[in-house]
Amino acid sequence: MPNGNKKVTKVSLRGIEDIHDDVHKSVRESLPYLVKNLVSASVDGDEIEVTHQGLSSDDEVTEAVLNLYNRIASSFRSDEPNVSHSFRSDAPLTKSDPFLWLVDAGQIRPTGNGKFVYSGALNELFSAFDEKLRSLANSMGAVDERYPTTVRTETLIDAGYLASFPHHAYFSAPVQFSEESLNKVRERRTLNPEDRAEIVSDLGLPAEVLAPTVCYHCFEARRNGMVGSGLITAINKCHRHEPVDVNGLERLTTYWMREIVAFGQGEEIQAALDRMAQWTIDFFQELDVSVDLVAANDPFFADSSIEKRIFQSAYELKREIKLPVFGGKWIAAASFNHHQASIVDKLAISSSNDASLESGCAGWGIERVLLALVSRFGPEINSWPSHARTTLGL
Amino acid sequence: MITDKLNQIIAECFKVETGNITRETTAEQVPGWDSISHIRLILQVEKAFNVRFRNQEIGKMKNVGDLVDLISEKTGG
Repeated sequence: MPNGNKKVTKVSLRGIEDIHDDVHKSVRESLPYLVKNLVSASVDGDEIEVTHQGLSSDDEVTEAVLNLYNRIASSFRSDEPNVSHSFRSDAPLTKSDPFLWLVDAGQIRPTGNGKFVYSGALNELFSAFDEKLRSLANSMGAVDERYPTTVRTETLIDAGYLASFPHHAYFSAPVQFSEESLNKVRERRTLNPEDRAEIVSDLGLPAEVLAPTVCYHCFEARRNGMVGSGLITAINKCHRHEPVDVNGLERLTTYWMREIVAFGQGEEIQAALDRMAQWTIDFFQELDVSVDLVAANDPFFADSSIEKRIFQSAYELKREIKLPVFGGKWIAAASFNHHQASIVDKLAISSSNDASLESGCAGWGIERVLLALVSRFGPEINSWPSHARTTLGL
Repeated sequence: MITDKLNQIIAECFKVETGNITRETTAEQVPGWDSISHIRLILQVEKAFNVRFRNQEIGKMKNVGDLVDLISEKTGG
C-alpha cells in the first residue's frame, strides 16, 4: 500500500497470546533494527501498522513482526501487575501536555532529539525536588559524589549492560590518529546521508559510552576494590538512545537522575530500598499526588535477556513508582533495584569486612517527576497552592 | 512419571546423577544452580511439560518437590 515514498504494512496480531503494553513497547523498540528504513509503527487494537521506506516486502515485514511478537510475548508472564502500594488523589490532572506551555513560556528550550535546557520556575522546581532527595540520602548516611559524563565501554560490557540494552548505548569516539581523517573532519561542511559513512570511517575506537545511568560511575570507581556497607548518592545526566517515542518530558535521550547506591549484605540492601520506596510514596501522598509502587522489569532489548526478565519479575528485584500525568497516563518516575551480587561479582568488587556483598540502587527520573507535578498542579509553578510549594521547599 | 522426567531434566542441566535428586533438593545443594540457570531450567521444564508458570509461582518455589507439585497441578497429573 504506497503512501508517497513510504509503504504501509498492516499486520494482524490475532492468535498471539499474552500481548500487553510492555510487549508492544518492546516490539516497537526492536522493530527499527529488523525492518529496513522503518518510519513508524503504531498499534491499533489487534493490528500493528508499520510504515517503512519500502525496502522490505509486505511478507518480509509481516514475518519479522510476527516472529518478534511471538518471541517477546513468551519472555513476559501474564501475571496481574503486582501493586504493593496504591494511593489515589481526587484532584484532576491537566488534560493537555504542560510541556507545550513550558516551552511557550521559555522555561524549556528544546535543543533537538529529546534534549532540553531548563530555566525559570521549572529549573527552581528541579533543584527543590533534587534537594529533597539529597536530604533523604544524607539522612540515611549517604556520601555525596560527583561523576563524569562517560563510562568505559569495557565496564559496560563486563557488567552486562551492553548485552541487555545494546539499543540504548550512545558510543563516544574521537577522530582516529590520522592526519587525513583529521583533515576530512575539519573540512566537513554538512552531515548529508552520503557523508555519514565517511564520518564513521574517520572515527577511532569507541572506548567510552555516554553514561546510561548514574550508578555505573559508582561501580566503575570501585572496580577491583573493596567496599564496606553504606550508601552513596549523586545526581548526573543519563544518556539513552531511544529508537522510538522520544516525547516531551516523558522520554528523553538526555535526562537527569538522582541515585542512591547501596552496598552491603542482602538484608541491608532490601531495608534501604524499602525505606527509600516508602519515603517516595509518603512524599507524593503528602503532596496529594496519586502514586503506585509496582513490581517491574528493565527495558531489555527484545527477548535477548529472557532469563533476566523472568528472574527480575519472579523475585521482585525491580519495583517502580508510577505517577499519573496529563490525560491520565501513568509513567514510571523512580525505581528501586536489588542487583543481588550480579554487578559486584562481574566487576570484582568485594566486601572490606569478609561479609557477603550485594548492591542495589534507587533512581528518581527528575524530568518525569516534574512532568507528574506540572500535570497535577498545572504548568504555572509560581501559582501552585502554598501546601504544595511548602512541601517541595519552594 | 513427572518426577522421573523432571529429575532427568535437572540432571542434564546441572550434570548431576538423578539418584541424588529428591523432593527436598534445593538449588543451594546443586553446584551451578544459580539464579539465571534456575530460570533456564524453568524454561526447559515449561517446554518439556507444555506448561507455563506465573512469575509469582516461580518466586515461591523452594525445592524440587514444589516444582513437581506445580507441574502436577498444571498437567492434571
